Amino acid sequence: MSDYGFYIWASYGVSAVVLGGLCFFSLTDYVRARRALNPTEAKV
Amino acid sequence: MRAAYSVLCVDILLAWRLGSISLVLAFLFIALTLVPFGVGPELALLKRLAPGLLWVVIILALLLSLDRLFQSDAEDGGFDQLMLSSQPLELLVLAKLVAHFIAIILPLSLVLPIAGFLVNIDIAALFPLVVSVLVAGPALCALGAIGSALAVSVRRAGLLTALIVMPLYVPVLVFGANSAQMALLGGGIALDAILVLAAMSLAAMLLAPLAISAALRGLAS
Amino acid sequence: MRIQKTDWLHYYANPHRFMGLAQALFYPLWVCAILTLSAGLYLGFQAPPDYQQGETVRIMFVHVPAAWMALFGYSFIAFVSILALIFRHPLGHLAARAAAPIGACFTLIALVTGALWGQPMWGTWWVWDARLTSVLVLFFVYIGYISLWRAIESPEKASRAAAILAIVGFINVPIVKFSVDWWNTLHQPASVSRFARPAIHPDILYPLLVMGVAFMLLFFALLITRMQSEILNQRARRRLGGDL
Repeated sequence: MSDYGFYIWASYGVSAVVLGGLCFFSLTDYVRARRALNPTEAKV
Repeated sequence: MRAAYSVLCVDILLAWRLGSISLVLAFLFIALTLVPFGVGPELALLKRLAPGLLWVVIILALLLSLDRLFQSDAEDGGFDQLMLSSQPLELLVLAKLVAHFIAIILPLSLVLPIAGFLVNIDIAALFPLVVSVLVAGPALCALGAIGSALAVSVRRAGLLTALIVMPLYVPVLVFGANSAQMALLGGGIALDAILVLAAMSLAAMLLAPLAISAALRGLAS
Repeated sequence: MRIQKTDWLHYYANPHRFMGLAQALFYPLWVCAILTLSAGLYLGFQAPPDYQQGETVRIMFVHVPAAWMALFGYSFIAFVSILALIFRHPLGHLAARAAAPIGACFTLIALVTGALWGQPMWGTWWVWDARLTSVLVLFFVYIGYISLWRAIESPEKASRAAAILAIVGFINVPIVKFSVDWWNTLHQPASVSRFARPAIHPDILYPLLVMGVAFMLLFFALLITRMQSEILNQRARRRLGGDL
């Protein structure tokens, strides 16, 4: 049980994947929503 | 008061005629039969598991039967009549909950000894078990009805209702099952757990009709 | 001439004004979130290993703030649902719906890091410890809440049902915590709380607090991003489909 490294990396890795995934999908949805209105709205 | 009383009677009669109680009982015994196939027929093990096991199977049976609670009314337009009534909707909902208790929980508690013997329950735990189910019954009906009311406009809401109600049932299950378990250890009825169950049932019967009426008013149209 | 005190809550009830506020906050929130997150991670790996738990105390820097946010997220949902339902604030439902996946993700992180923290300590991947079990039930509350939103077709009915569920669930959370604590002491007579916190000394406290702030900023950055997406989508639908 001395291989703490695995558990630490796994914890931070899972957190990064989950949070990163959430940020990625939220931001891409946002960008897509902005672009959808672009032709009619002069804002980016 | 008469509208509430008639809702009560109609619901009990309907539950009896439609056989919803027989379905719940059938599920109870079927699920219970599965257990020894899974964990082995060793009697000592079953005796240890029995009170909690019976509680879990009761919870599952209720979770599965909940979706029909309000949907049959929503489908045939009974709701519009209820809401036009001069009685406050909360009172009629309370009547429905009481009907559900009488139609489902009471028969369930009567059948519990038979189910208990299937899993070799300790005699000393049987009476505390039945008491815990009876005392927790109103809470189970009220909390389950909240889930049923919230999902009333959804087709095939069975699993959704179960998902919504499951966290609400956790406290009731904890105190109910463990009050029966504690009887195995300490003899007699675990009074403090039963009192907590009674408090939960009381609070649920008082507060759930508010949530249910709010849900039905918005959803059943 | 009467001078009226600005009622911020109702001032930003107008989606147009809210969008203005959201756009102004967008970059600052994201930038601050990323900066504090980096600072927190740096502090976390700089902290000396705890004498009791060794290096695995570093997992705590993710687990504990995630658990805080899991609880905060649901409280936030309940709060805005009350605003939406009882005080009829129009952005309440929107905020609740946007916040739900964020809270659910934090709950998932808290669960996984909790399990990973426990494994090197006690050799099992999962313990039915009071705190972890409560977080697990909270996760199912989130799942049920999100499922309800997705199951009902009409947005008005869905928002009303979800708001009621949020409030009911919020009342339930302390009751679940109370029940699970009682259940745990019942079945573990040698009642040393398995996740006994290490003595909190500054080397551990500061990274913890910084990560907590970072997660909070991230929560709000994600929230306004998602709320803006939803408002923009509604606008697009309106323009394309005529009136609703």
